[in-house]
Amino acid sequence: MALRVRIECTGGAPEERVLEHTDVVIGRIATAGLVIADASVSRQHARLTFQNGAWWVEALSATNPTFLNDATIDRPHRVVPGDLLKMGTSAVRVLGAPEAPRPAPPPAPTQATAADDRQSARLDILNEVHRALATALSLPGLLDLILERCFSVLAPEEGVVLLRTPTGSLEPAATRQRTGPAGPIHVSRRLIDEVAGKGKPALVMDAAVDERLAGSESIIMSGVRSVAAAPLSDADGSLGMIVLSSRAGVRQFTQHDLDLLVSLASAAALRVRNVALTEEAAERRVLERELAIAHDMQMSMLPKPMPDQPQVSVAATLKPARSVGGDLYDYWLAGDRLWFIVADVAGHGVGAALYMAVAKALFRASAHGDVSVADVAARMNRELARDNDSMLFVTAMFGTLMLATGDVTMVDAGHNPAVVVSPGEGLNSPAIPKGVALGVVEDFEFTEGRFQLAPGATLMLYTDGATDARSTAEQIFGADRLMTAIRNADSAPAVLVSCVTAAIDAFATGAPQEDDITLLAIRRKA
Amino acid sequence: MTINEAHEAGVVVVSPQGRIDSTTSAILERHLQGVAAAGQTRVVVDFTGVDYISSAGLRVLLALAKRGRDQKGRVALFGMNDSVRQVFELAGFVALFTIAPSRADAIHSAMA
Repeated sequence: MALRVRIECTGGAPEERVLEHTDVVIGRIATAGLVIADASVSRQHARLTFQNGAWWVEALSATNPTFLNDATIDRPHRVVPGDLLKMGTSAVRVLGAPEAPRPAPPPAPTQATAADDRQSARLDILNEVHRALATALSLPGLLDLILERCFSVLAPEEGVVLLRTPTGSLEPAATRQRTGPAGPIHVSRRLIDEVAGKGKPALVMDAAVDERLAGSESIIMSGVRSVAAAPLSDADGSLGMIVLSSRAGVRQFTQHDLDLLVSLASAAALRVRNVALTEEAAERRVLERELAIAHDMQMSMLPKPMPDQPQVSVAATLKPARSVGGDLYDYWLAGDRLWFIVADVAGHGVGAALYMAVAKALFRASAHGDVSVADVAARMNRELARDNDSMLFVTAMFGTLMLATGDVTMVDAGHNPAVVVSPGEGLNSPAIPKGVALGVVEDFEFTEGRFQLAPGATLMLYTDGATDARSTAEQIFGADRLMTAIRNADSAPAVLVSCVTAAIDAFATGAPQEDDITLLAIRRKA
Repeated sequence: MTINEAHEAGVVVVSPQGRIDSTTSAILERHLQGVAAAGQTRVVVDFTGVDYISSAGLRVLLALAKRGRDQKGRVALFGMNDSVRQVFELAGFVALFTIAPSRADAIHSAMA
């Protein structure tokens, strides 16, 4: 009494089915005995029954007619092989009795059931995917493998793996379709929120009635769909999702199917995370190499140690906090004038280092001939302030020492005070009028300060990296400790610089260096 | 770093807590940019919870003051401890900001 029929559904390949029951509802609803994935078909459209040795068809929908060989029916009609039942834009062709079953294969010695076979096929897939994870298979290769295996065991019509891009959106990374061209596969926003957003697997028996998809566009644009979707996620969060879909009349996914998909998805998630970490590490290596080059360039911009002069000796050090920093020092002899500068760009890193390079070039370009220190300050400041939208700025202490007389002329552009170490007199801070850091107020007028460096005295400039150095106990080195370190050191510049550096290092040992540390010492010989 | 925000008489009072250094200044900067993006041009920064500020932090406040000038807004600061105030003084920035003696004065300045 079983009946063979062929569903001729709009937009799909014909599907043959065998009706085993004597009472079969035909319709769009997922619980129908013969499901037709066509929106023009009613949820319960018609019914086939086997009575008195024959098959009968009757219409169930009062508004959506059923046609038997192009005639509408209003009461049960007998159907025979060759009859065509039309519902909406789909049709069911009655074919007749099923073909005679092939002789059953001899029973296997293990008496394996079909369920065991399916279970074993699933374990094989998991093993295969896990083996693939251990190889050098690329991420696209792995995703393709997972979809291919899903198709061989779960038999969906369409499958897609969505991966989260760096911008946070989900994009298809692999797609597969059983028939027809592999066009774009649309996955509903609600399903994405549910699966990729909340990390919950989803089993949709009937996309048209499932509340997770209520009010949303259909998962795939037309028809009643069964969907299995699993998140790709690990402890660090969501990476994407894998979605399989099928017309419900062709295949409905089960909880077992979903369990397998979840396992496959977690295997894929491992590799996705590994690939992301590998790419990140490669980018970091490139960045580190570039920073190393920037560091070398920055250090090469510092002046070479100045050979001892008859009237003056100079020593300096710069210890960057990161591989590149925002501090700078410079000095050079122009006739009987020694030009010098210590400066600190706000912040550190590449941006500060670039701004520092500009500041240094400006200082070199501005400080020449008989130009006054105040004019150099004004010119540097104007150039640095122009179009300075990011509000970077440079604090600087700079000026000139006349070798013959010891006369020092300096400008303080928002910098830490200078220190003079005089033999027999200890430390004092020369009074230099406070000006604004360079780059902030474009038309600022700087006022020079002047004093005389006595024979045997040393002028010491530094950046706040020295005073703000922190110990592991979160204490700050501070101006007092700096002054003590300076006082305790021999005032020969090279010794002074290395003694103060050692004092800071000893204080801050074990703690990360947070700011560049620069020291410059200029001694007028006795 | 945590940043508290209060609204009083049409003025936003932003209260960062802890150190404003080269790392945390980025957090403060984003917060203040958010304040600006919300159309708030009258801003008070409360320093009573700030125990340290680096030059990177000063840059963030300069940008705030610059935005204030560009948008005809008002920016006032208050509640600095001695060491924080000294950083402003060293950089020559005291004259660039309205530094009020109290919260009420700061809000009053920002309303003006």
